[in-house]
Amino acid sequence: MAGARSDVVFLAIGLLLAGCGGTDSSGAQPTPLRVGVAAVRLTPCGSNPDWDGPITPSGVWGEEFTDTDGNGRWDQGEPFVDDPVNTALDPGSAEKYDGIFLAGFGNDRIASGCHDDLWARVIVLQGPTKKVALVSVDFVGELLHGKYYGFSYARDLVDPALGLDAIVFSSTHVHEAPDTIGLWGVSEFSDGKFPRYLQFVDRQVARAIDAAAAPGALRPATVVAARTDPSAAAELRGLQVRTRCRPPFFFDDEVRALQFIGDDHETIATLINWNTHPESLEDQNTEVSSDFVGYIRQRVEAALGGTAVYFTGDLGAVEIVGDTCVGGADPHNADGSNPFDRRDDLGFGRTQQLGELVGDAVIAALHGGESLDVAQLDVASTSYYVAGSNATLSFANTIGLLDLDAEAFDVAHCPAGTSLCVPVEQHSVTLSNGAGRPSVQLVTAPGELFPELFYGVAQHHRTDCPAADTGAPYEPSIRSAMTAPYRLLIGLSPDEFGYIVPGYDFYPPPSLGDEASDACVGQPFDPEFPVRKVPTHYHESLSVGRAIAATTTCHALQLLGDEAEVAGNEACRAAGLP
Amino acid sequence: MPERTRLPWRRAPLAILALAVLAPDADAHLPALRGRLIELVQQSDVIVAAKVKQTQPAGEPVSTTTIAVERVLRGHTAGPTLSFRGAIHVAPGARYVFFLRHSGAVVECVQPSGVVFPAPPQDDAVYRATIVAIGEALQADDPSRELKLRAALVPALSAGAAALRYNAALELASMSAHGPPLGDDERARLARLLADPHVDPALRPLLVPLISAPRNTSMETKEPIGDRLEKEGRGG
Repeated sequence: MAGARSDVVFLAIGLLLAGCGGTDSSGAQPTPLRVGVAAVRLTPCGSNPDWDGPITPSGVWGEEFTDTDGNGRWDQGEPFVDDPVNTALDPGSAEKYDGIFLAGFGNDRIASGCHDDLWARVIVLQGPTKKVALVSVDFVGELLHGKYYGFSYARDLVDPALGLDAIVFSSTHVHEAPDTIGLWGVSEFSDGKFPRYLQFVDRQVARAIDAAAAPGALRPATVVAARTDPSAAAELRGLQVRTRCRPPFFFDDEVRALQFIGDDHETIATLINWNTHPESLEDQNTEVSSDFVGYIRQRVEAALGGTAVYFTGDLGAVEIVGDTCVGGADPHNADGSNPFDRRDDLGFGRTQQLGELVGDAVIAALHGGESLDVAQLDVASTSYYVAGSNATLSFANTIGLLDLDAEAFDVAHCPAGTSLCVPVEQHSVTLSNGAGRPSVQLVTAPGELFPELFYGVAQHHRTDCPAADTGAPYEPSIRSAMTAPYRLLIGLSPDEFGYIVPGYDFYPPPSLGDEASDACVGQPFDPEFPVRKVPTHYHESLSVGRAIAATTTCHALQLLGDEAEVAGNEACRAAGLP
Repeated sequence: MPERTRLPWRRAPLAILALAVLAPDADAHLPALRGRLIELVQQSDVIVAAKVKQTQPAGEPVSTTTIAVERVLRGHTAGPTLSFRGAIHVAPGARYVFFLRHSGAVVECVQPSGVVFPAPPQDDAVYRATIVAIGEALQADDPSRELKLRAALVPALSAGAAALRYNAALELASMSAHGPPLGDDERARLARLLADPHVDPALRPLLVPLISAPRNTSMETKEPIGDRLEKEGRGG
C-alpha cells in the first residue's frame, strides 16, 4: 500500500499561517475567498491510532476468527469472536461475522488486503458571508440517515463553533471499498456492513471537516477553473461506455477542475469532477482500493502540489471502458483502436493508466485554465421526501441488509400507500464575481444521475425506439439552468439512492430481482457498432423509483433560481413542484 | 449421470429462462436479490446435504471443497465423499445443501459466490420435498408446469433455514409476476400461512401482493406501461 500507515494523516494546509489576513504578501488585491483542505485515511488495514477494533492476521480489520482451512480469509462456518461493540450498534450483527466485504458486484468478496488508501477528503470554502465544506469519501455510497451510522452522525460530530453553513457530503462510488450499504455480505441475505468500522468512518469524516474548516487552516486563495473533454483532450477519448450499451449512447464527457492557489502561489487544493463509474478493477480484485480515483489524485498532486479531491458527477449508466459494453466503446487512438475495450486485462496496471490519462487531462486543462474573480460565495439547500417503490430495497431493509433510520425513512412522510419514502437533501454552491455574475455553479444529486438529466432529456433522449417511450414528460435540464461558465454536478450526495433514470425510459422491474424489457430489447441501435444493442432495464431495479428523476432535477433548478422553468415543466408539475 | 436428471434449457418454463437471461449477475454492480432454487435444481445433476471436510484454494475466486455426503436429495453419488470446484467459500465442519453438476471428470458447484444453503439436519425433509417437487414439476408439460413449480415452493416458505425460505418467496413472487396469477387454492394456502403468527414477517411484503393481485391479469403480459407508471406514483 502506498504511503506510511503509521497514523491518520492530516493535510490541513496553512496551520502555520493562522492569523494571516486576506491580503497576500505581494500587496495584491485582497481576495474574499479562503480555502482549507484536509485528507484523513479511512483505509481498513494495519495499525491506526484511531482504530480500536480487532485486526485479522492479514492486516485487514475484522473480527478475529479461526482459519480452519488456512486460506487466510474468513469463510462461512468458521468460528469467530463476535465483537459486542458491533452488536451494540446493530443488534442484527449478533452471531454475524463483521469484517471488510468489498462493495460492488456479487457477494462474499471479503478483502484480502489493502492495495492503496481510502480517504475522506474535504475542501472548505469561506466567502464573505458563507462557509461550506465539500466532502468526498472513497465508498460505493453512503447514507445520510443510517440506523446507527451515516453522514448525519459525522455532521453531529463536527465542531459547531466552526460556523459551517452547509456540509456537502458525497461518495466517489468506488467498487473496491468496504460495504457501507449492506448488500454485499458473505451471502445474498447477510448484511455486509461492519458497524464498528462505520462508526470509525463517521468520526474520521468529522475529523477531516474540523481540520479543513479550522480558522487556522483557511487561507486566502485564488481560483483557476478549467474544463476539458475528448474533443480537446485526446487522452479522454473512448474511456466511457453505457451499461450494457444502454441507449442513448450519451455521456457527460466533460472533466471539470478548480485549482485553489494560496498567497504563496502554491496549490492548496484541486477539485476534480468527472462522471464515470470507478470500477476499473472489476469483480476479481479482493484488495481494498480507491480504483482510478486514487491514481487521478496522485497524478494531479504530483504535478500541481496540494491536495486533490475527486467528486463523482452524473455517472448513471456510465461505466469505465472495458466494463459491460465490451467491444462497444468509441475509439481511443487515432487509428480507431481502443486498447482498454477488453476484459482480459483488468487490474491495477490498466487502472493506473486510466487514472493517469484523466489526471493528465486535468493538469493540461488547468495549465490553460481561467483565473476567476471570486467576490462572493453562496450556498442554497433544500430537503424533501420522495415517494418511491422498489421491492428489492424494501425487502433488503426488512431482512436487515439495509439499516435505514426508521424515523427518517418513515412512510408517513409520503402519500398513503407509499412503500419506500426517502429523505433527500440537495445543495447548490455558487462562486460569483464582483459584478455578481456566477463563475462556478455546483449542484448535487442524491444518487447516480443519468447524464441526460443533467444536460436535458429533451435534447438527449433515445431515438432508436419510439415505441419504448413511456410517455412520461421530459425532466428539465439542470445544466441549462446554470449560468456560470463552469458547471459542476456532484452525484451520490449525500445519499446513494441508486440510479436516477429519466421517466420517459423508466421501466419498473416486473418483480423483485427482475428487469423489465421494452419494445426494442435486443435490437442493435447503432449501425457503426452492431454490438450496441438495447438491453433490459437493469438500472430501474436499483432505483428508488421514477419520481426521483423529476424531483432531483426540479429541485436543482429551484436551488439555481430558475423558478420559471420549474413552473413551466410538466415533469416538475407532476412531481408536485413548485 | 442419468439423462433424465439433465433437464435441457429448452424444457424450462419461459419465465425461468427469461429470468436467467435477463438478470445476469456477472455484469451487475449490485447483487440481484432473487430466488434461484428452480434454476439451481435445473442445472444440477446431484444435490446433497453434506458436511464440509476440507477446502483448498484453486485460484481465486475458485476453491476445491471436499464434503462428506450425509443425504442425497437428488441424483446419485459414487461414494460418501465428494470433491467439487466452485465459487462458494464454506468452512470445514459446517453443513450445507450443495447443488452440483458433472463436467467431464470433475464435479462443479453451480451456486454463485455468496449463494449458500445452510442445512441443519432438521431441515433435510423440507429441502428434499422442495427439490423433489421442483424436479418433478420441471418434467411436466405446460401449462401445469408453472402451477406445479409454484406449489413446490410453498412448503419451503415455512422452512427453518432462512436461505431456503427467502429463495422460495422471491421465486414465487417472480413467477407470479411473469406467469398466470395465483388461483384461489394457492391464495388460500398463502393466506393460511400468513395467518400463522410465527411466520417470518419478512415474507409478508412479498406474499401479500400475490394474494391481493387481480385474478385474471398478468402484470408482465397484460398491464399497460402507463398503468404501471401510474401505480408507482408521481413523487412528492
